[in-house]
Formats: sequence, C-alpha cells, structure tokens
Amino acid sequence: MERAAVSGHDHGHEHGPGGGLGLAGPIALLVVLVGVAVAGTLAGDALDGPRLGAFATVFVSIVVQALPFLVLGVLLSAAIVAFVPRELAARALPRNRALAVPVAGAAGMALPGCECASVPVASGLMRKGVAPAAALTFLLAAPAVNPIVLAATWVAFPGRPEMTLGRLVASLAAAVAVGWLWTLLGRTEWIRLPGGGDADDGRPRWLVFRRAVAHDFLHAGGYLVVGGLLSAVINVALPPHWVDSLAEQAILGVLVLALLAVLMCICSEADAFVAASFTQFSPTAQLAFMVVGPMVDLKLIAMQVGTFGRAFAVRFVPVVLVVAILMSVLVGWVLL
Amino acid sequence: MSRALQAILLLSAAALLARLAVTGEYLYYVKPSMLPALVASALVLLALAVFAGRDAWAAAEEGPDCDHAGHGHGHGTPRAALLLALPLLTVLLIAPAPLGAFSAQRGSPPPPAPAPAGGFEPLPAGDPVEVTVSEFVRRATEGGGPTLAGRRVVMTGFATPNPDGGWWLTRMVIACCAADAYPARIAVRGADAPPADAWVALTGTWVEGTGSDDGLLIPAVAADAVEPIARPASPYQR
Repeated sequence: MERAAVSGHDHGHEHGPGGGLGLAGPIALLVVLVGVAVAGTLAGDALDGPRLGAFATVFVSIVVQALPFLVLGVLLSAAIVAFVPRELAARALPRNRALAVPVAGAAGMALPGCECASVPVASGLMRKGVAPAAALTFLLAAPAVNPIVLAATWVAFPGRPEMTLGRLVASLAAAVAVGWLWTLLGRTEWIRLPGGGDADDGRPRWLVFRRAVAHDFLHAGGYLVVGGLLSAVINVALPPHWVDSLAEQAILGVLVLALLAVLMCICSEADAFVAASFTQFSPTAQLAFMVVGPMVDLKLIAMQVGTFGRAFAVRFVPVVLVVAILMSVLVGWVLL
Repeated sequence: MSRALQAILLLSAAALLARLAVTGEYLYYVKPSMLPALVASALVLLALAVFAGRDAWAAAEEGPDCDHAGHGHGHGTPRAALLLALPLLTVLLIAPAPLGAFSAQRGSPPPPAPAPAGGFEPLPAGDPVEVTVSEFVRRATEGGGPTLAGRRVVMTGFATPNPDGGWWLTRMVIACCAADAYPARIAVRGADAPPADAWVALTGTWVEGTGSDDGLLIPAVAADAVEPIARPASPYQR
C-alpha cells in the first residue's frame, strides 16, 4: 500500500532534530532571495514611485486573486480528510495504479478551480490514502484542463480551435505522463504531508476539520505570498519587450515562453489572453506557455515546498517542467 | 509557532480581504465579480482566527505541557506563514493605486477580438456617444472603422506619455487580476498632454484609417476636448 508519510503523527513534532531545520533552510533561502530581489529591483533609479506602486499592486493582486481559491481548496481538502471514509477514497479510483492515473487526470477536468486550490486538495487526497501518482496527476490536470480554462482559451484564440484542442491534449498527456513516471520511479518518502490529522484517530470530526483548514491554509498561504512577491518583482523589473528578439528562433522561443510562464504566475483562467499577446512567437511556443503555466510557476513551486516538502519539490518540479515542454512541442508539431 | 501567532496571521489575511471589500479597493486588484468570493473567504478566515484564538486561550490556561502532549500540530507551521501579514501591511503602508502609466507603457496588448460575425453593429445614438477605450481600439483595428467614421465619441481613461513623443489615452484591461493586465491605447492628436496618470474624459473623432495601418494597432483620435475627471471606482475594463 502506497501511502505518504504524514509528519506530525508519524514522525513526532517538527521541532525535533532535522524536521524543523529541514523546513527552516529553504524558507530562509527563499526569504533571502526575495529580499535580494526586492532590494535589487527597488535600488537606484528603480526606487521611483511608479515602479514601487506597480510592484505593490501586482503583488497584492496575485495574493487577493489566489486567496479565495486557496480557501476553497483547503476547505475541500479538510472535508476530504475529516469526513470521507478511508475506504471510499480508495474505492473512488481503479485499484490498478496505471489505470488510476488517467482516471485522476480526467477527474481534474471536473474541478473548476485554479492551481491554488488543487495543491491542498491533492494533499488531502494523499492523506486519505489515494496513491500519490493519481493525486499528483489530479494536481497537474485540474487547473490546466477544466472547462473554465478551456473556454477562456477558446475566447483568447478566436478562430483557432486547434489552440484549445492542443492545450487540452498536451496538458492531459503531460499530467498522465508525470503520473506514470511517478508510479515507476516515485518514492513516497519524498513527500512530507502536513500533519493535518485524520478522522480515523478518534478525535471529533469537526475539530479535525477546522484544525486541518487552518493548518493547511497557514502551510500554503505563506508560500503563496513568496510566489506573489517574486512574480511581482519579475513583472516590474523585466525590461519591456525583452523577449521579442528571441521570438523567431523556433526552439529558443518555446523555452523562453515556458520560462516566462514559470516566472509570471498567471492564473490558468487568464493565461490564454497573455499567451495570445505573444504574437511574434510560434503557436507551439504559445501552447508551451499555456501548458507549463498551470503546472509549474513560482507560486506553485513555493506552495508545493510548503505543502509537500522540499525533497519532493526539487524532484517533481523539474520533471514536470521537462515533460510539459516536451508534450507541448509534440502536440504543437502534430496539431499546429 | 504558537497558536496565538497563528490566530493573528489568519486574522491578518481575513482583514486584508475585508478591508479591500469594504473600501471598494478590491477593484484595483481583481475583477468586480470576485466580490462575493472575497467576502466569503474573509468570513471563513475570520472564523478560523476566532477558533485558533480560543484554542490559544485554552492552551494558555491548561499550561504549555498539555499542548505538547495533546495535539501539537501547531508546531509544524512553517515560518513562511509569517509572510501572510505582508499583503495587509502593503495595503496599509504603501496604499497601492491601480496600475497606471508605468504599466501602460510597458505592456503589450494581445490582438483585439476579431469582428463579430456579420460585422460591427453601428454605435448607439448620441453625440458624442460614449464608448470604452478597448471597444474603440477593437473597432478601429478589426475592420469596424466605418462605424466610427464621422462619429464624435467620449471616452474615459488616463494619460500615458508615448516614449516616442505625444501621449496616449489608455485604460488597463484585465482578464483575471492586475498581474495579467494589458493596456488599450489610443494616440491623441490635437490636445496637450495631461500629466501622466491623470484621468480625463476625452471627446473626439477617430482619425480615419489609423489603427490598422501601422502594425502597432494603436488608432488615433482627433481631440475636441479633454476634461480632467476623478478616477473611476472601477479603473480596469474588460
């Protein structure tokens, strides 16, 4: 039975040797990085009002836009943890793990939430005993291929239905491929779930529920702020049109827009409009922007570090990035 | 991290959303349709803060040992959670304004939505007729020029200096939140530039042929009058 370790319950308190430091390290690093980035951006001539103002507005807007989805996500996750019987969670997916992965990917199409909601929900599913491979596929697929996102893509690329189709196919393929890779190579000990508790230990369910909500929110929320800070720095620090000169190179163009998707942290419901604005780039590069963004961006990476631990994120994030780019290129080559 | 501190952080997130919703400043950051979600989230977070505060109170009365032996989950909270206070501090200390000329100069808009099937409807009656900046840009660039030709229009937006000289009447357009905002821009002819970021109501007429002739998709308007106005409550357009 594949089941991720739950810290807090299984490994005692976080302030034991290793546990506390293991979290403090990356946090200290992130804080220093953000501090340096902010200081660098705001130093010198950049310390003018408009730039600082735009930075503050973009930073707050990313957090304000994400908070309701994060709250929804932690409510769902805590409800799964506290109220769904363990047997039901296990039975909802096919027992065959190779088959459970695509089913989880298809299930992602039904949850119209942004990526901020899917991180805590995936964590709740794992705590309930759902195989990590299936939960991770759900985590990747839900923000990328839900109906709202596909509709937005349809509107953003008028007269080009192949962009919406390409997004659906490439995103699902990437999510399922990562799930299968995890089934083959993944190790559960890489994942450290926040110890939000489980209803099966005899405590009142309501207490389990509200503790899990607060706990999950605090875990992911601080990291969401980190992602928002970094992304806002990028937004005001990059010179305008710096990418335009790279647009004509086929492969470099794909990589540049994929990198930009990671840095800009745009909600999956809005990223199609931004992708459409990169008119000088190839359709494949625009597709890569939309496939990578909902799966890997600074705010997601930060929240995954907070929710699943650093050991998980350093392995998961690069793999997802590579697979997402490969799938975009493949689908772009066939369809676009 | 103590339960009391956790309660304060939850409260600061609730306070951020509540303040933006009550003051109407949420419109500087997200779409108007987000208001119910913001209010609901603020209430959920407030409830969580109250419960966490009550737990902290109870734990303090029982003594520190009980908390360790009993549940003890609070200790797993990463210190990064402290950053949850930062957005509220930013709103209180920096008091951000809606995105303005700085962002309008830097952004590059996506191509406007193409003409509706069957062509553009004529503009409503009225002289001048009120249109949005983005609608004006769309008609001028997507073959709706005949519906603009000869019509006096009035549009509200803010002034953005064109780095190459002159100025644009601009409005930021958002799809989701201010992080994905892009500018809709109209080059203004025949009127002196107001200060950057000044909000104006501009009355004028489309300069025929502009918007589709230069690849930049920035149409021009010949201004009759430029009146300063107060910043609208909802600064962004769809």
